[in-house]
Amino acid sequence: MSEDPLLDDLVRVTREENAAERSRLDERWDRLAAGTATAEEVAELRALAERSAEAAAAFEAFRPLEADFRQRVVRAIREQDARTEAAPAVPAPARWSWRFPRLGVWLASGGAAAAVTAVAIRLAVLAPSPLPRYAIAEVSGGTATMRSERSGESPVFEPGDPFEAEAQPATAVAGGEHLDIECFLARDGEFRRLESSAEVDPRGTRRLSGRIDPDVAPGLWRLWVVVARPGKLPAAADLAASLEAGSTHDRGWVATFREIEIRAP
Amino acid sequence: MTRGPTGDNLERALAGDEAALAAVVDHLTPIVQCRVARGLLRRRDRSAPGREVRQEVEDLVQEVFLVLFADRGKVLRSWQRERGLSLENFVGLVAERQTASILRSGKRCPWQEDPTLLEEMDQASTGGGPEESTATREQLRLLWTRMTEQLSPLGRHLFDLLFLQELSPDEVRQATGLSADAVYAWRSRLRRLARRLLGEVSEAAPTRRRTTMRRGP
Repeated sequence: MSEDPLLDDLVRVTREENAAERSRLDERWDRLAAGTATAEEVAELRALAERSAEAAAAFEAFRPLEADFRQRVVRAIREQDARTEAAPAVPAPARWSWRFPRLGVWLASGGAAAAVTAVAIRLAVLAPSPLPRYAIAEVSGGTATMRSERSGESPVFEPGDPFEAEAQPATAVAGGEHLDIECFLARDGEFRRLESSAEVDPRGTRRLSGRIDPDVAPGLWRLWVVVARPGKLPAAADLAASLEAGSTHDRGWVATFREIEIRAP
Repeated sequence: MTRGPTGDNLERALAGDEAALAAVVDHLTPIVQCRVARGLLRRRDRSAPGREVRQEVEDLVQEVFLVLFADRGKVLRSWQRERGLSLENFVGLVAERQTASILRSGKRCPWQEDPTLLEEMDQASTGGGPEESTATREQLRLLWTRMTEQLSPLGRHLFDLLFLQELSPDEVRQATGLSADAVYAWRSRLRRLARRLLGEVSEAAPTRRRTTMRRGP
Protein backbone atom coordinates (compact mmCIF):
# COMPACT_ATOMS: atom_id res chain seq x y z
CA MET A 1 0.00 0.00 0.00
CA SER A 2 1.27 3.47 -0.78
CA GLU A 3 -0.68 5.18 2.03
CA ASP A 4 -2.30 7.31 -0.65
CA PRO A 5 -5.89 6.20 -1.28
CA LEU A 6 -5.98 7.51 -4.84
CA LEU A 7 -2.77 5.73 -5.82
CA ASP A 8 -3.95 2.57 -4.07
CA ASP A 9 -7.24 2.62 -5.98
CA LEU A 10 -5.48 3.42 -9.25
CA VAL A 11 -3.03 0.57 -8.75
CA ARG A 12 -5.81 -1.84 -7.82
CA VAL A 13 -7.92 -0.96 -10.86
CA THR A 14 -4.89 -1.04 -13.16
CA ARG A 15 -3.89 -4.48 -11.90
CA GLU A 16 -7.43 -5.76 -12.33
CA GLU A 17 -7.68 -4.32 -15.84
CA ASN A 18 -4.29 -5.77 -16.79
CA ALA A 19 -5.25 -9.18 -15.43
CA ALA A 20 -8.58 -9.11 -17.29
CA GLU A 21 -6.83 -8.15 -20.50
CA ARG A 22 -4.26 -10.91 -20.08
CA SER A 23 -7.01 -13.46 -19.67
CA ARG A 24 -8.66 -12.24 -22.90
CA LEU A 25 -5.42 -11.68 -24.83
CA ASP A 26 -2.87 -14.06 -23.41
CA GLU A 27 0.74 -14.51 -24.55
CA ARG A 28 -0.28 -16.61 -27.55
CA TRP A 29 -1.32 -13.36 -29.24
CA ASP A 30 2.12 -11.81 -28.64
CA ARG A 31 3.70 -14.90 -30.13
CA LEU A 32 1.37 -14.64 -33.12
CA ALA A 33 2.64 -11.11 -33.79
CA ALA A 34 6.25 -12.18 -33.33
CA GLY A 35 5.84 -15.10 -35.72
CA THR A 36 6.84 -17.55 -32.99
CA ALA A 37 3.44 -19.07 -32.24
CA THR A 38 3.27 -22.83 -32.79
CA ALA A 39 1.00 -24.21 -35.51
CA GLU A 40 -1.27 -25.44 -32.75
CA GLU A 41 -1.50 -22.00 -31.17
CA VAL A 42 -2.26 -20.35 -34.51
CA ALA A 43 -5.05 -22.88 -35.08
CA GLU A 44 -6.44 -22.18 -31.59
CA LEU A 45 -6.43 -18.44 -32.18
CA ARG A 46 -8.00 -18.86 -35.60
CA ALA A 47 -10.74 -20.99 -34.08
CA LEU A 48 -11.39 -18.29 -31.48
CA ALA A 49 -11.58 -15.70 -34.24
CA GLU A 50 -14.20 -17.73 -36.07
CA ARG A 51 -16.39 -17.85 -32.96
CA SER A 52 -16.25 -14.21 -31.83
CA ALA A 53 -16.08 -10.78 -33.47
CA GLU A 54 -13.79 -9.57 -30.71
CA ALA A 55 -11.33 -12.40 -31.28
CA ALA A 56 -11.57 -11.85 -35.03
CA ALA A 57 -10.52 -8.23 -34.54
CA ALA A 58 -7.70 -9.39 -32.30
CA PHE A 59 -6.54 -11.87 -34.94
CA GLU A 60 -6.36 -9.07 -37.50
CA ALA A 61 -4.53 -6.82 -35.04
CA PHE A 62 -1.92 -9.40 -34.01
CA ARG A 63 -1.43 -11.15 -37.38
CA PRO A 64 2.30 -10.66 -38.18
CA LEU A 65 3.28 -7.54 -40.08
CA GLU A 66 5.15 -8.89 -43.06
CA ALA A 67 8.40 -7.87 -44.73
CA ASP A 68 6.77 -5.52 -47.23
CA PHE A 69 5.20 -3.53 -44.40
CA ARG A 70 8.53 -3.28 -42.60
CA GLN A 71 10.20 -2.08 -45.79
CA ARG A 72 7.50 0.60 -46.06
CA VAL A 73 8.30 1.68 -42.52
CA VAL A 74 12.02 1.94 -43.34
CA ARG A 75 11.19 4.03 -46.42
CA ALA A 76 8.91 6.27 -44.36
CA ILE A 77 11.69 6.82 -41.80
CA ARG A 78 14.17 7.69 -44.53
CA GLU A 79 11.69 10.10 -46.11
CA GLN A 80 11.16 11.73 -42.73
CA ASP A 81 14.94 12.06 -42.33
CA ALA A 82 15.22 13.63 -45.77
CA ARG A 83 12.52 16.18 -44.94
CA THR A 84 14.31 17.01 -41.68
CA GLU A 85 17.59 17.60 -43.45
CA ALA A 86 16.14 19.58 -46.35
CA ALA A 87 17.21 23.25 -46.54
CA PRO A 88 14.64 25.79 -45.30
CA ALA A 89 12.47 27.27 -48.05
CA VAL A 90 13.31 30.75 -49.42
CA PRO A 91 10.50 33.21 -48.54
CA ALA A 92 8.05 33.90 -51.39
CA PRO A 93 9.13 37.16 -53.08
CA ALA A 94 5.54 38.22 -53.77
CA ARG A 95 5.12 39.19 -50.10
CA TRP A 96 7.33 42.25 -50.67
CA SER A 97 5.41 43.72 -53.59
CA TRP A 98 2.75 45.51 -51.50
CA ARG A 99 5.38 47.71 -49.87
CA PHE A 100 7.50 48.28 -52.95
CA PRO A 101 5.19 48.56 -55.99
CA ARG A 102 8.04 48.90 -58.51
CA LEU A 103 9.61 45.91 -56.89
CA GLY A 104 6.37 44.14 -57.56
CA VAL A 105 6.76 44.75 -61.30
CA TRP A 106 10.35 43.49 -61.18
CA LEU A 107 9.27 40.43 -59.25
CA ALA A 108 6.54 39.67 -61.73
CA SER A 109 9.05 39.83 -64.58
CA GLY A 110 11.09 36.99 -63.02
CA GLY A 111 13.80 39.17 -61.54
CA ALA A 112 13.26 37.61 -58.16
CA ALA A 113 14.05 34.15 -59.40
CA ALA A 114 17.47 35.25 -60.62
CA ALA A 115 18.19 37.18 -57.42
CA VAL A 116 17.12 34.32 -55.16
CA THR A 117 19.24 31.90 -57.15
CA ALA A 118 22.26 34.19 -56.87
CA VAL A 119 21.78 34.52 -53.11
CA ALA A 120 21.34 30.79 -52.72
CA ILE A 121 24.53 30.09 -54.66
CA ARG A 122 26.41 32.64 -52.59
CA LEU A 123 25.13 31.15 -49.34
CA ALA A 124 26.02 27.64 -50.50
CA VAL A 125 29.56 28.73 -51.31
CA LEU A 126 30.06 30.64 -48.07
CA ALA A 127 28.18 28.40 -45.62
CA PRO A 128 29.51 24.88 -45.17
CA SER A 129 27.00 22.07 -45.39
CA PRO A 130 25.74 20.40 -42.21
CA LEU A 131 27.94 17.62 -40.94
CA PRO A 132 26.81 14.06 -41.65
CA ARG A 133 26.04 11.69 -38.83
CA TYR A 134 28.99 10.00 -37.18
CA ALA A 135 29.17 6.58 -35.57
CA ILE A 136 31.81 5.13 -33.28
CA ALA A 137 33.06 2.13 -35.23
CA GLU A 138 35.56 0.92 -32.64
CA VAL A 139 36.49 1.49 -29.02
CA SER A 140 39.69 -0.14 -27.79
CA GLY A 141 41.92 -0.09 -24.76
CA GLY A 142 40.96 -1.30 -21.33
CA THR A 143 40.20 -5.02 -21.24
CA ALA A 144 38.87 -5.53 -24.79
CA THR A 145 38.60 -4.10 -28.24
CA MET A 146 35.00 -3.69 -29.24
CA ARG A 147 34.10 -3.32 -32.86
CA SER A 148 30.64 -2.25 -33.79
CA GLU A 149 29.65 -5.79 -34.79
CA ARG A 150 30.05 -7.27 -31.32
CA SER A 151 26.70 -7.47 -29.67
CA GLY A 152 25.28 -6.63 -26.30
CA GLU A 153 28.52 -5.75 -24.48
CA SER A 154 29.88 -2.46 -23.32
CA PRO A 155 33.65 -1.98 -23.52
CA VAL A 156 35.20 -2.23 -20.08
CA PHE A 157 37.82 0.11 -18.68
CA GLU A 158 39.42 0.90 -15.37
CA PRO A 159 40.03 4.44 -14.20
CA GLY A 160 43.23 5.72 -15.78
CA ASP A 161 43.13 3.26 -18.72
CA PRO A 162 44.13 4.53 -22.16
CA PHE A 163 41.47 4.30 -24.85
CA GLU A 164 41.19 4.68 -28.58
CA ALA A 165 38.03 5.37 -30.51
CA GLU A 166 37.35 5.59 -34.22
CA ALA A 167 34.54 7.86 -35.35
CA GLN A 168 33.35 7.44 -38.94
CA PRO A 169 31.05 9.75 -40.88
CA ALA A 170 28.06 8.30 -42.72
CA THR A 171 29.23 10.15 -45.85
CA ALA A 172 32.49 11.85 -46.81
CA VAL A 173 32.84 15.28 -45.26
CA ALA A 174 33.96 18.24 -47.37
CA GLY A 175 36.87 19.77 -45.48
CA GLY A 176 36.99 16.69 -43.28
CA GLU A 177 40.64 17.16 -42.42
CA HIS A 178 39.88 20.48 -40.69
CA LEU A 179 37.25 19.31 -38.21
CA ASP A 180 37.63 19.64 -34.45
CA ILE A 181 36.89 16.64 -32.25
CA GLU A 182 36.48 16.19 -28.50
CA CYS A 183 35.68 13.33 -26.13
CA PHE A 184 33.53 13.48 -23.02
CA LEU A 185 32.27 11.10 -20.36
CA ALA A 186 28.72 11.64 -19.16
CA ARG A 187 26.17 10.22 -16.77
CA ASP A 188 23.64 11.46 -14.22
CA GLY A 189 24.35 15.11 -14.82
CA GLU A 190 28.12 14.65 -14.63
CA PHE A 191 29.96 15.73 -17.78
CA ARG A 192 33.74 15.41 -18.10
CA ARG A 193 35.97 16.41 -20.96
CA LEU A 194 38.68 13.82 -21.65
CA GLU A 195 42.12 14.80 -22.85
CA SER A 196 42.62 13.25 -26.27
CA SER A 197 44.48 13.63 -29.54
CA ALA A 198 43.21 12.75 -32.98
CA GLU A 199 44.48 11.42 -36.29
CA VAL A 200 42.42 12.36 -39.27
CA ASP A 201 41.84 11.33 -42.84
CA PRO A 202 40.45 13.56 -45.59
CA ARG A 203 37.13 11.69 -45.56
CA GLY A 204 36.52 12.88 -42.02
CA THR A 205 37.25 9.67 -40.11
CA ARG A 206 38.83 10.41 -36.77
CA ARG A 207 40.93 8.07 -34.67
CA LEU A 208 41.19 9.39 -31.12
CA SER A 209 43.60 8.46 -28.38
CA GLY A 210 43.05 9.47 -24.81
CA ARG A 211 42.89 8.33 -21.24
CA ILE A 212 40.00 7.66 -18.87
CA ASP A 213 40.24 10.00 -15.88
CA PRO A 214 41.73 8.24 -12.84
CA ASP A 215 38.99 9.51 -10.50
CA VAL A 216 36.00 8.28 -12.52
CA ALA A 217 33.49 6.34 -10.44
CA PRO A 218 32.64 2.77 -11.50
CA GLY A 219 29.49 2.14 -13.49
CA LEU A 220 28.01 2.64 -16.94
CA TRP A 221 29.02 5.85 -18.68
CA ARG A 222 28.48 7.34 -22.11
CA LEU A 223 31.65 8.06 -24.05
CA TRP A 224 30.62 10.97 -26.26
CA VAL A 225 32.58 11.93 -29.38
CA VAL A 226 31.73 15.37 -30.71
CA VAL A 227 32.86 16.46 -34.18
CA ALA A 228 32.61 20.12 -35.13
CA ARG A 229 33.49 22.61 -37.84
CA PRO A 230 36.37 24.85 -36.68
CA GLY A 231 35.13 27.20 -34.00
CA LYS A 232 31.67 25.61 -33.82
CA LEU A 233 32.13 23.34 -30.84
CA PRO A 234 29.81 24.61 -28.09
CA ALA A 235 31.04 25.38 -24.59
CA ALA A 236 31.03 22.27 -22.40
CA ALA A 237 28.08 23.40 -20.27
CA ASP A 238 25.95 24.19 -23.36
CA LEU A 239 26.97 20.93 -24.97
CA ALA A 240 26.08 18.97 -21.83
CA ALA A 241 22.66 20.61 -21.71
CA SER A 242 22.01 19.85 -25.39
CA LEU A 243 23.01 16.22 -25.07
CA GLU A 244 21.00 15.80 -21.87
CA ALA A 245 17.95 17.14 -23.73
CA GLY A 246 18.48 14.62 -26.52
CA SER A 247 19.81 17.10 -29.10
CA THR A 248 22.89 15.57 -30.68
CA HIS A 249 23.57 17.89 -33.56
CA ASP A 250 23.45 21.41 -34.84
CA ARG A 251 24.56 22.82 -38.16
CA GLY A 252 28.19 23.07 -37.02
CA TRP A 253 28.59 19.98 -34.82
CA VAL A 254 27.39 16.45 -34.37
CA ALA A 255 27.74 14.03 -31.44
CA THR A 256 27.62 10.28 -31.09
CA PHE A 257 28.23 8.02 -28.12
CA ARG A 258 29.12 4.52 -27.05
CA GLU A 259 28.30 3.09 -23.64
CA ILE A 260 31.31 1.95 -21.69
CA GLU A 261 31.66 0.32 -18.31
CA ILE A 262 34.14 1.58 -15.78
CA ARG A 263 35.15 -1.05 -13.24
CA ALA A 264 37.08 -0.57 -10.07
CA PRO A 265 40.64 -1.91 -10.32
CA MET B 1 11.43 -13.44 -28.68
CA THR B 2 14.76 -13.96 -30.42
CA ARG B 3 17.70 -11.79 -29.42
CA GLY B 4 17.54 -8.68 -31.56
CA PRO B 5 19.71 -5.74 -32.50
CA THR B 6 22.27 -4.53 -30.06
CA GLY B 7 23.00 -1.02 -28.92
CA ASP B 8 25.63 -1.00 -31.69
CA ASN B 9 23.09 -1.88 -34.36
CA LEU B 10 20.83 0.84 -33.04
CA GLU B 11 23.66 3.34 -33.07
CA ARG B 12 24.46 2.48 -36.68
CA ALA B 13 20.80 2.77 -37.59
CA LEU B 14 20.70 6.23 -36.01
CA ALA B 15 23.85 7.11 -37.96
CA GLY B 16 22.07 6.35 -41.23
CA ASP B 17 23.11 2.75 -41.92
CA GLU B 18 20.17 1.39 -43.90
CA ALA B 19 20.86 -2.28 -43.21
CA ALA B 20 21.05 -1.59 -39.48
CA LEU B 21 17.83 0.45 -39.69
CA ALA B 22 16.04 -2.45 -41.37
CA ALA B 23 17.32 -4.82 -38.67
CA VAL B 24 16.12 -2.50 -35.90
CA VAL B 25 12.69 -2.17 -37.51
CA ASP B 26 12.47 -5.95 -37.97
CA HIS B 27 13.30 -6.57 -34.33
CA LEU B 28 11.06 -3.90 -32.83
CA THR B 29 8.00 -4.33 -35.07
CA PRO B 30 6.41 -7.19 -33.07
CA ILE B 31 6.97 -5.30 -29.81
CA VAL B 32 5.40 -2.13 -31.16
CA GLN B 33 2.60 -4.07 -32.82
CA CYS B 34 1.63 -5.88 -29.62
CA ARG B 35 1.43 -2.68 -27.59
CA VAL B 36 -0.46 -0.89 -30.35
CA ALA B 37 -2.85 -3.81 -30.79
CA ARG B 38 -3.64 -4.03 -27.09
CA GLY B 39 -4.15 -0.29 -26.82
CA LEU B 40 -6.33 -0.20 -29.90
CA LEU B 41 -8.49 -3.19 -28.95
CA ARG B 42 -8.98 -1.78 -25.47
CA ARG B 43 -10.34 1.49 -26.82
CA ARG B 44 -11.84 0.90 -30.22
CA ASP B 45 -15.49 0.84 -31.13
CA ARG B 46 -16.29 -2.84 -31.24
CA SER B 47 -18.68 -2.34 -34.14
CA ALA B 48 -15.85 -1.59 -36.57
CA PRO B 49 -15.08 -4.49 -38.93
CA GLY B 50 -11.82 -6.43 -38.58
CA ARG B 51 -10.40 -5.09 -41.82
CA GLU B 52 -10.22 -1.57 -40.40
CA VAL B 53 -8.46 -2.86 -37.32
CA ARG B 54 -5.65 -4.14 -39.51
CA GLN B 55 -5.25 -0.80 -41.24
CA GLU B 56 -5.37 1.05 -37.93
CA VAL B 57 -2.68 -1.20 -36.49
CA GLU B 58 -0.44 -0.66 -39.51
CA ASP B 59 -0.94 3.09 -39.41
CA LEU B 60 -0.25 3.30 -35.68
CA VAL B 61 2.81 1.05 -35.85
CA GLN B 62 4.29 3.19 -38.60
CA GLU B 63 3.47 6.32 -36.65
CA VAL B 64 5.28 4.98 -33.58
CA PHE B 65 8.39 4.26 -35.65
CA LEU B 66 8.30 7.76 -37.10
CA VAL B 67 8.14 9.16 -33.57
CA LEU B 68 11.06 6.97 -32.48
CA PHE B 69 13.27 8.11 -35.36
CA ALA B 70 12.10 11.71 -35.70
CA ASP B 71 14.63 14.51 -35.37
CA ARG B 72 17.60 12.16 -35.91
CA GLY B 73 16.30 9.63 -33.45
CA LYS B 74 15.79 11.97 -30.51
CA VAL B 75 13.41 9.60 -28.73
CA LEU B 76 15.57 6.51 -29.20
CA ARG B 77 18.65 8.44 -28.14
CA SER B 78 16.94 9.28 -24.86
CA TRP B 79 16.90 5.58 -23.88
CA GLN B 80 19.35 4.92 -21.09
CA ARG B 81 20.13 1.27 -20.47
CA GLU B 82 21.47 1.96 -17.03
CA ARG B 83 17.98 2.95 -15.83
CA GLY B 84 17.03 -0.72 -15.83
CA LEU B 85 14.63 -0.41 -18.75
CA SER B 86 15.44 -2.64 -21.72
CA LEU B 87 15.29 -1.14 -25.20
CA GLU B 88 12.32 -3.34 -25.98
CA ASN B 89 10.40 -2.21 -22.90
CA PHE B 90 11.33 1.42 -23.56
CA VAL B 91 10.04 1.21 -27.13
CA GLY B 92 6.92 -0.62 -25.92
CA LEU B 93 6.14 2.19 -23.50
CA VAL B 94 6.62 4.78 -26.24
CA ALA B 95 4.19 2.78 -28.36
CA GLU B 96 1.61 2.74 -25.56
CA ARG B 97 2.00 6.45 -25.01
CA GLN B 98 1.59 7.37 -28.65
CA THR B 99 -1.30 4.96 -29.17
CA ALA B 100 -3.17 6.43 -26.20
CA SER B 101 -2.56 9.97 -27.39
CA ILE B 102 -3.46 9.40 -31.03
CA LEU B 103 -6.62 7.46 -30.22
CA ARG B 104 -7.76 10.10 -27.75
CA SER B 105 -6.83 13.28 -29.58
CA GLY B 106 -5.91 12.20 -33.09
CA LYS B 107 -2.46 13.70 -32.55
CA ARG B 108 0.99 12.39 -31.75
CA CYS B 109 2.08 12.96 -28.20
CA PRO B 110 4.85 15.55 -28.44
CA TRP B 111 8.10 14.16 -27.11
CA GLN B 112 9.16 15.94 -23.96
CA GLU B 113 10.60 14.52 -20.81
CA ASP B 114 7.76 14.55 -18.29
CA PRO B 115 6.93 18.26 -18.57
CA THR B 116 4.27 17.89 -15.94
CA LEU B 117 6.97 17.03 -13.48
CA LEU B 118 8.57 20.45 -13.76
CA GLU B 119 7.17 23.86 -12.84
CA GLU B 120 3.50 22.88 -13.26
CA MET B 121 3.83 20.14 -10.70
CA ASP B 122 5.34 22.41 -8.09
CA GLN B 123 2.68 25.03 -8.71
CA ALA B 124 -0.12 22.50 -8.65
CA SER B 125 0.82 21.07 -5.28
CA THR B 126 -2.37 20.29 -3.39
CA GLY B 127 -0.78 20.65 0.00
CA GLY B 128 -1.84 18.62 3.02
CA GLY B 129 -1.89 14.84 3.22
CA PRO B 130 -3.50 12.25 0.95
CA GLU B 131 -7.25 12.59 0.58
CA GLU B 132 -9.78 9.80 0.59
CA SER B 133 -10.36 8.62 -2.97
CA THR B 134 -13.81 9.25 -4.41
CA ALA B 135 -12.97 8.29 -7.95
CA THR B 136 -15.19 5.93 -9.89
CA ARG B 137 -13.77 2.94 -11.67
CA GLU B 138 -14.31 4.61 -15.02
CA GLN B 139 -12.49 7.71 -13.85
CA LEU B 140 -9.58 5.61 -12.67
CA ARG B 141 -9.46 3.89 -16.05
CA LEU B 142 -9.39 7.27 -17.76
CA LEU B 143 -6.82 8.46 -15.27
CA TRP B 144 -4.56 5.55 -16.18
CA THR B 145 -4.94 6.37 -19.88
CA ARG B 146 -4.00 9.99 -19.23
CA MET B 147 -0.99 8.97 -17.17
CA THR B 148 0.07 6.66 -19.99
CA GLU B 149 0.02 9.65 -22.32
CA GLN B 150 1.79 12.02 -19.98
CA LEU B 151 4.59 9.94 -18.55
CA SER B 152 7.84 9.19 -20.31
CA PRO B 153 9.00 5.56 -20.45
CA LEU B 154 11.17 6.25 -17.42
CA GLY B 155 8.19 7.69 -15.55
CA ARG B 156 6.06 4.69 -16.42
CA HIS B 157 8.89 2.36 -15.44
CA LEU B 158 9.17 4.06 -12.06
CA PHE B 159 5.38 3.94 -11.53
CA ASP B 160 5.52 0.22 -12.26
CA LEU B 161 8.41 -0.38 -9.86
CA LEU B 162 7.17 1.87 -7.04
CA PHE B 163 3.44 1.23 -7.14
CA LEU B 164 2.57 -1.81 -9.25
CA GLN B 165 5.47 -3.95 -8.08
CA GLU B 166 5.64 -2.13 -4.71
CA LEU B 167 9.43 -2.19 -4.58
CA SER B 168 11.07 -0.26 -1.80
CA PRO B 169 12.82 3.00 -2.70
CA ASP B 170 16.14 1.28 -2.10
CA GLU B 171 15.23 -1.53 -4.48
CA VAL B 172 14.15 1.02 -7.08
CA ARG B 173 17.40 2.89 -6.60
CA GLN B 174 19.35 -0.28 -7.28
CA ALA B 175 17.23 -1.22 -10.29
CA THR B 176 17.47 2.17 -11.97
CA GLY B 177 20.74 3.69 -10.80
CA LEU B 178 18.89 6.81 -9.68
CA SER B 179 19.87 8.47 -6.43
CA ALA B 180 17.71 7.98 -3.34
CA ASP B 181 16.64 11.62 -3.55
CA ALA B 182 15.58 11.21 -7.16
CA VAL B 183 13.51 8.12 -6.34
CA TYR B 184 11.71 9.91 -3.50
CA ALA B 185 11.15 12.93 -5.73
CA TRP B 186 9.65 10.74 -8.45
CA ARG B 187 7.35 9.07 -5.93
CA SER B 188 5.97 12.44 -4.80
CA ARG B 189 5.64 13.72 -8.32
CA LEU B 190 3.78 10.65 -9.53
CA ARG B 191 1.29 11.08 -6.70
CA ARG B 192 0.77 14.75 -7.53
CA LEU B 193 0.43 13.97 -11.23
CA ALA B 194 -2.26 11.40 -10.50
CA ARG B 195 -4.23 13.91 -8.43
CA ARG B 196 -3.95 16.63 -11.02
CA LEU B 197 -5.00 14.38 -13.89
CA LEU B 198 -7.88 12.99 -11.88
CA GLY B 199 -9.09 16.56 -11.46
CA GLU B 200 -8.97 17.03 -15.24
CA VAL B 201 -10.71 13.73 -15.91
CA SER B 202 -13.43 14.57 -13.39
CA GLU B 203 -14.02 17.99 -14.95
CA ALA B 204 -14.19 16.59 -18.46
CA ALA B 205 -16.53 13.65 -17.78
CA PRO B 206 -20.26 13.98 -17.11
CA THR B 207 -21.16 13.55 -13.44
CA ARG B 208 -21.97 9.96 -12.58
CA ARG B 209 -22.89 8.16 -9.44
CA ARG B 210 -19.85 8.26 -7.24
CA THR B 211 -18.80 5.34 -5.12
CA THR B 212 -16.49 6.07 -2.27
CA MET B 213 -13.67 3.58 -2.56
CA ARG B 214 -12.19 2.84 0.80
CA ARG B 215 -8.90 1.21 1.44
CA GLY B 216 -9.04 -2.43 2.39
CA PRO B 217 -8.01 -3.72 5.79
